[in-house]
Amino acid sequence: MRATDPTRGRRREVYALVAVLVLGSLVAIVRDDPFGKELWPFSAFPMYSNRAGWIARSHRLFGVLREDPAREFPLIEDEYLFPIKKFRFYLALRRMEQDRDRDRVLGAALRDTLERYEANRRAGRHHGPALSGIRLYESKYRLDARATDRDHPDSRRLIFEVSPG
Amino acid sequence: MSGLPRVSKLRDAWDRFWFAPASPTNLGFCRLLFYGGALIFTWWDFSALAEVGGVFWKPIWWIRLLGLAQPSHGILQASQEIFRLALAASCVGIFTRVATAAAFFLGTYLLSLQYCFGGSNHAKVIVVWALASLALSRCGDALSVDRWLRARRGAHAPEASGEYRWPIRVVWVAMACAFFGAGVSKLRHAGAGWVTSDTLAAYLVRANYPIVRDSDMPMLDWGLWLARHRWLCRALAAGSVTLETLFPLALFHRRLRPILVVGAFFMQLGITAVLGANFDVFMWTYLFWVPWDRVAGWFRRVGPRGLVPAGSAAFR
Repeated sequence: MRATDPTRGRRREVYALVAVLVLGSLVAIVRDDPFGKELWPFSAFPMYSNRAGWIARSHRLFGVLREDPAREFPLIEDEYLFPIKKFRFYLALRRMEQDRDRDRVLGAALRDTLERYEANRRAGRHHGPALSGIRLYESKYRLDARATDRDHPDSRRLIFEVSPG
Repeated sequence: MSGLPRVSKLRDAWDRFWFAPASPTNLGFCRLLFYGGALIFTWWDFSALAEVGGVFWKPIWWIRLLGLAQPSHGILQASQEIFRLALAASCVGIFTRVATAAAFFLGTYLLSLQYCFGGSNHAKVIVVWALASLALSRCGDALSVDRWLRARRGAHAPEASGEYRWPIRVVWVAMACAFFGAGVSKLRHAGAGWVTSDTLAAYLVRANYPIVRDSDMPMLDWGLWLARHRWLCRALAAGSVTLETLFPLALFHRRLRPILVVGAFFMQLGITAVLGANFDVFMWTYLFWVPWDRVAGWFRRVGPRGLVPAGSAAFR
């Protein structure tokens, strides 16, 4: 089989692909959209680009154990939030917290998450405990370079809560 | 007057960059390895996305533009089965043109659907560009079932051609855009402060706080040790920003190429180890920087006899 060098038309096709890639990437770099709002499949790849300090705040869900409602455990593993990856899941919640119709949207999202958690647990997709409800907290940490206090936030504030029914 | 020869020289160099004759073997190796890896790294149950409540559905721009709704379980199940078949067929090189095209369209659709629940993420952007490039290429001309069938019908082995160079160069450019964007983004948001402040140290510590971190758990807790050595963190930060911003030089500068590419590979490996970010399929695409035909030639010379026989049909 004889290979031919690319014809002029073929070169145009290749350059068109390259132009889409490069121009799209340049637009994405100039726009510099934050995580979650990228012009996918173009991106400015804004990873770790902001200045980080020693105070960290995070909004995370905690499950209320059905067996012992006084106990909670954090829903921070992908398997508990499947099929939405943890990072994207919490991006969605932050967006909903800023929604004008916050209580309705957040309530629907948390109920959906609780139902999916239980459905996935019953299907054997994860081995988490049965839950009677979930709570959204904001936790504040003063970071320590030895991370000795990693399980104990300086403060915690309840933002939202749902239970079945 | 001396401008014209310079323009002509530049034009020739540009043309050589994309279309200088290259062996089909190199592209064949890239195809085989890339699709094999893509099959593993994208193995995920996309059909589960049909079960997510509509409250989470927030389509990315082009899904919104096409007016596509949240798909049903059946559509996703069928799409992912065909996608996996297409990846496997592309890997072994059977019905390569059709398989690579199907892998591109379905892969782009399925990967983008993930980002319609919560928000986009650039982790797998590089896959789309590699899939697009290979789908337009003649990557099935070597190391493939298609090639083997053609050889049985008496077709000669393909000769070196520019057709076998540009698809690899497109992936190089996609990686260069990614690193350049990452470097510029840091300089834009934090300026020199990204290097001179404790930013990297703080990120390294954050990664060790389970409730705070956004990424996966780091493989090692060495980040805590690094964070206690601020000068080391600043040196690493300076190295990272420099490497990312200058990475496009790897496209054109032969001497800098190995330094930048190997440096970026180890930088990403380090980030995965101490910060937990998952670069699986992105790191897999470094395979496009390896001159596989030369590696195979080296094995032929120094490897055990018979391992890669010279003139083997596999390498035609």
